[in-house]
Amino acid sequence: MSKILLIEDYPVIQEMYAQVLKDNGFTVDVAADGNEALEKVKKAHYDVVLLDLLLPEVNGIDFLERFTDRGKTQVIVLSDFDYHATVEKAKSLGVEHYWTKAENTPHVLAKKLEEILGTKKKK
Amino acid sequence: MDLDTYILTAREQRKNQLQLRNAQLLAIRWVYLLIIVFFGIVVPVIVQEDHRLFTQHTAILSGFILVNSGIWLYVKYRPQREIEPYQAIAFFQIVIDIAIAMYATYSPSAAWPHTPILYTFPIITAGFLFRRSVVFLSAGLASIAYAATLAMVHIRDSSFIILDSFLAETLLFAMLFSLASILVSYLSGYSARRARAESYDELLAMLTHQLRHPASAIAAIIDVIESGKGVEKLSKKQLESIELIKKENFRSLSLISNLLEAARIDSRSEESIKFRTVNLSQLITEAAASCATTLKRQDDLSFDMPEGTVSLRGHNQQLRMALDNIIHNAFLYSDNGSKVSVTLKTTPDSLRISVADRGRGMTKQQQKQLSDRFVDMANRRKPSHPPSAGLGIFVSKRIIERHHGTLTIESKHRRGTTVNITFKRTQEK
Repeated sequence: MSKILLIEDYPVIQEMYAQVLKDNGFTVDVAADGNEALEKVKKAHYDVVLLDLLLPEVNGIDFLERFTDRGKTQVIVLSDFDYHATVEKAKSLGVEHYWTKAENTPHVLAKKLEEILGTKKKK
Repeated sequence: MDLDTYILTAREQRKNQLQLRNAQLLAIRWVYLLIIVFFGIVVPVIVQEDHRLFTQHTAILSGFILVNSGIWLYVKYRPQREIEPYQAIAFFQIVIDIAIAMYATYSPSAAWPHTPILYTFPIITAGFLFRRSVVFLSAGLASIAYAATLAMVHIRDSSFIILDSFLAETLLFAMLFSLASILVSYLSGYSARRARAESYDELLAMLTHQLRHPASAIAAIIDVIESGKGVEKLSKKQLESIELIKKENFRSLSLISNLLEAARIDSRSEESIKFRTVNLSQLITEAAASCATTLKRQDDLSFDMPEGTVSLRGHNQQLRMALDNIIHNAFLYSDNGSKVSVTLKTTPDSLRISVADRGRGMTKQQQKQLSDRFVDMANRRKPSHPPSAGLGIFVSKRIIERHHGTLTIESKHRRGTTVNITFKRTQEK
């Protein structure tokens, strides 16, 4: 069972995505800001970290800079913030996918994650 | 992060950028001063053992140091005044010119015309007052005029001996000043403009994000309702209402994106966006499929694409936005059940994307108005559709032009519209 950390500060969005991902068989942990997320990634291993960028306290880019010991964890940005410099910065910090929430509703996201993690297992 | 926090952070960053530019300017000025000290005092005194020159130069250099210290203290202790580097350097240039003009006038050893310096004052002052980078141009031009005059004097007197006179040193000064002006212009003027445009762009991106947030939340909630348990218990009317919320929310999201993109188009930092290789075939397929799915018109969509991957140098998100707008319009202005065809054709010289519908089409008058901002083709759309902001085609056209492509529209009233996008093949990689 794949383990996912959802980092999102907007309660409605956090609840909807977490619920659908759980319904689709993922184990989901949530964090509402970068600090909480950094503590969680220290304590447990996640297959995927879904990261919002505009977070209180430690924002998404700060999180990426501090979360260096990633092992096999894939970091995917899930944010509607599409400022070109931020997109480039995130990619330079090892983000594999940059997805917008508007296009990736919970079920679309669940399907994409299944594809990514499925492909990874086959390899 | 909320908008207030963002604005406060952005202000702090702007202040830091300004202080950094002032520091760059000060560093350049001190390096310049060291060069003058070397050629003005060290070389004449040590190499030529001329103590008369030493006295003269020390007097002028003391002036330099005083002015520099004054500017440095002012910038350091009054940062809230936000002195722009070009203002400081213009001020510096004026003070130096006055000092040299006075020296040249009153020194018995300087028998050369100093009037050119006087007519450079108004140019520099204008640059200073209008707070534009023209000040650097004027400083450069003034220095060249200055140097040219001095060269003519040397030729006239046939007494050109390097480092042996104040004139030669002044020539060096003028040349160095030109170089320093160009360098400072690059470092501060250009970066200041770019930083301003970038922070404007970032603010727009932040606003877009804040506006999209509730819409994304609604999209997530609808997604959960639609795919959740118990959906079969909902009545037909309730399901239609959910569908309506979904469509309206989609419209709201695309309106936010277009509105902000229209505002962003006027921002200069767009030039700084890096183009990368974009998989055009994939982008077109995704955009068309996403539009058709959202509007439940999958059966009306047809593709004609070449085999293999067709790519283009460009900006993925922007091209996607242009395609979304054009394909969405094709569905919006045609009835359910009528075909929308999307084709991609390649020739040795060009790539052409065509989006054709068999909808209402446009009159000639409507076609003329189409690329203006905020023109809603009220009588073009279906009566059941709400009014639009009329930004889609305007934004798409600008995006395509930014990619060195062209967007043309062929339309026949009541028979349909075809939008053609053409890119030159040379941009392909």
